[in-house]
Amino acid sequence: MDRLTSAQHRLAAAIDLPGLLDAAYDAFEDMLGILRHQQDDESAFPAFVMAAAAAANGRDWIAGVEGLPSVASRDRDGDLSADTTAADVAKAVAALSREVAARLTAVAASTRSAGDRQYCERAAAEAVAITTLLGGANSP
Amino acid sequence: MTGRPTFGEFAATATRHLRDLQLRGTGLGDPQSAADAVAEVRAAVHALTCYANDVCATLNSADATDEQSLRSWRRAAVTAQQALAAAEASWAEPAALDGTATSQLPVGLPASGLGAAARYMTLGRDLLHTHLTFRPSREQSDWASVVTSVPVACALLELVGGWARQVAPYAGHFSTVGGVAPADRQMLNTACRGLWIATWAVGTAQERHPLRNDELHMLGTVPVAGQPPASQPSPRAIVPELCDGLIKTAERLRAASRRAVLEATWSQALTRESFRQTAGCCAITASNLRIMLQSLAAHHGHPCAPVSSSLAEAAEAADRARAAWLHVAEGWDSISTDTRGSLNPVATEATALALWTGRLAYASPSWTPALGPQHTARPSAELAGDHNHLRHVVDATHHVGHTLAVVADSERDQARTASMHGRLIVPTRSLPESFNIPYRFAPAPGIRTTPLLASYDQALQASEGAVGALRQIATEIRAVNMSPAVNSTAVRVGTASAAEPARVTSEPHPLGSAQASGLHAASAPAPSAQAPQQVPAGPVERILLDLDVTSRADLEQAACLDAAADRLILRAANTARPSERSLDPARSAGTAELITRLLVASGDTLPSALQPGASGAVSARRRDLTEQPHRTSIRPRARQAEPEAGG
Repeated sequence: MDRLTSAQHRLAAAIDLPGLLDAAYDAFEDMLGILRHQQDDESAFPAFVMAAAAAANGRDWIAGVEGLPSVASRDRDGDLSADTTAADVAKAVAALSREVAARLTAVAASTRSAGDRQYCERAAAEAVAITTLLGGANSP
Repeated sequence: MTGRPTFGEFAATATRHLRDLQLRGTGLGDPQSAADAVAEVRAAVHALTCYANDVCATLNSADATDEQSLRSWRRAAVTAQQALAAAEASWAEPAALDGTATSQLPVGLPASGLGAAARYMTLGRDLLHTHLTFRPSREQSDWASVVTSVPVACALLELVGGWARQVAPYAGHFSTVGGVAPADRQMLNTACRGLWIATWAVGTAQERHPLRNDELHMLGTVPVAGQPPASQPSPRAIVPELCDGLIKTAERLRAASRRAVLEATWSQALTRESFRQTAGCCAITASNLRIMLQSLAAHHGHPCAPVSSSLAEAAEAADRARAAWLHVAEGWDSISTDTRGSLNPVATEATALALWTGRLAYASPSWTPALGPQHTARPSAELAGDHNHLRHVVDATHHVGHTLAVVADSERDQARTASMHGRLIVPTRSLPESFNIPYRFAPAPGIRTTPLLASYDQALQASEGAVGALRQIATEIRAVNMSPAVNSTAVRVGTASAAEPARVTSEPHPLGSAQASGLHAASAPAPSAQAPQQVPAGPVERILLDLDVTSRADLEQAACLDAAADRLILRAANTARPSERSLDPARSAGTAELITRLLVASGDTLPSALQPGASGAVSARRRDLTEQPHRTSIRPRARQAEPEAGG
């Protein structure tokens, strides 16, 4: 959970394209990791499995963008195995994916390269899919 | 079940037309032209011969040569095939001799009669063969292994025996009426003989090793090759509808999987998204399967109670499949493909199957994989309120388990092919810096692809384990509509118990009354030295049986009439003095049937006057007919002679 919080901070702090892509890539990686970690929860299993696939897809779309640094800027920190429920994880991941989708959508609109724009849009769409899958965590 | 025409529908229609012939008395009530009638008999014999050829091919290539039951059915198939082939072969000779082609069946589908029956027989065979037409560019049919399985071949042979028994009297009687050319008359008699031999041969096999009801049912359920239409579960769907939709979706997924394997080297739809979604949805499907089975296993009342332990074991097997599929999905977390962005039909159908199974497993009519309000499992009482519902649900779970195994197999093949062709890649960023690759993606190293391919092996193994556990339940509750591959392996010939013969069933049969007729024939096996001989039903009793008369009093009266006729004929034969002008008593179908019945009833001590082929005068006259260069000159005499003792 700490890692998700950290990823959200990095995303908010990114000011240039490489920094944003770097943060988005890592955010997808972090979402993937924590979803895999918590996916055995019976009630959340289908949503977490599908959201994990979307996170991997989103990360790979970002990997195709020209501006992504070839090497990660820094090691990711934070803990994946905090004592949290699946619902808490879902809420945190949904919040992060919502942020990722918003930032990537904005970047796509300002990117000159058609290829990069498409990749950013597809990555944003994957982030939206994660939000859709996990957004119901607030329901009773 | 699939919404497509089935073999049973064609078979039932053919049988209905044959029964209509019988219900019209002798079957010659309408003013059909002689040539057309002859052509119809010939078409029917040809169709039956083709069926017998198919059955022989299947049974002769079967491995289980040590099974006594298989030997019986194989012997019956060979006998029937030879008899029918001989009948058909002899038919071709007159046309070649006198240069006049025997009239052909009219083009189009006759409305009724033997011609219509023959056409539906042919259509039924064509339907079965749609599963056997394999081209390299086309995936093999899901049902191919069923169509070529021993149980289905035996069921088919039994059906052939039943049809032959219905056609034989028609052919035999027609040989005795006017308007039929002598050559055709002779061939009708030959055909009649072949039909009866086929009937008796099949009857003997059926008597010794009766087929199980599920084996007979399986043949009728074979649909025409093709795919059911795609569908989505309705929120108002009830359990049987969900089961049917699930089965159709599973079939579509299996077909899509097999097709994808053929396209793996070049397909643009072979994408990471497809692989990931397929693996994830299969894990969800297996999870839903586990929930269903757990619900059923926890049911402590009828009808699940007797199989609750098996259901619990199957639930555990489904959970192992879920874990294995999850491992596959995780394997794709670190591997990508050279094409991306689209979903192939496998992923689409796998998503649909996850949705169908979820709607069945959970009580919520709007269940989706998305996280939402807590979903509760569907109560077992709703899943399996009675035994039939339980069978339907188990049938559906069978399809699911089998489909997971098929998908694991085909996805592994696709991934392997993609790996061999360099289509599996990884983001360079995910590799250690020591790789030093100046591109954003690099070929996936073996350290990543090997575990991925191994995970598919585990998924296949676990899915097959679930199928095995589900098969055990199906055996215990006698589910009959198992998935094709399960059917082909689970059903074995000759294991029917005397207490549960195929003819004892209250369920509507997919072959309609066809099997009923065939089974009746089966109750009249040919005389045999190995088994106690059973006197075949006489003509009166048989007609009543064909009319579905079940009154014991009426049937006993019919048997008495037949027995009285037997006694009269035997008494007359014992006192008769053979003469040069006597006719062969077994020269037509009607009389041949009676003579055979008398042969069995008299314990092989038939009076010499009734011995088939005993008449030297008749043999000599037949030689004259075939060797006479101008046969038309003796036709009037033959025409007068035949009806005299015709049946």
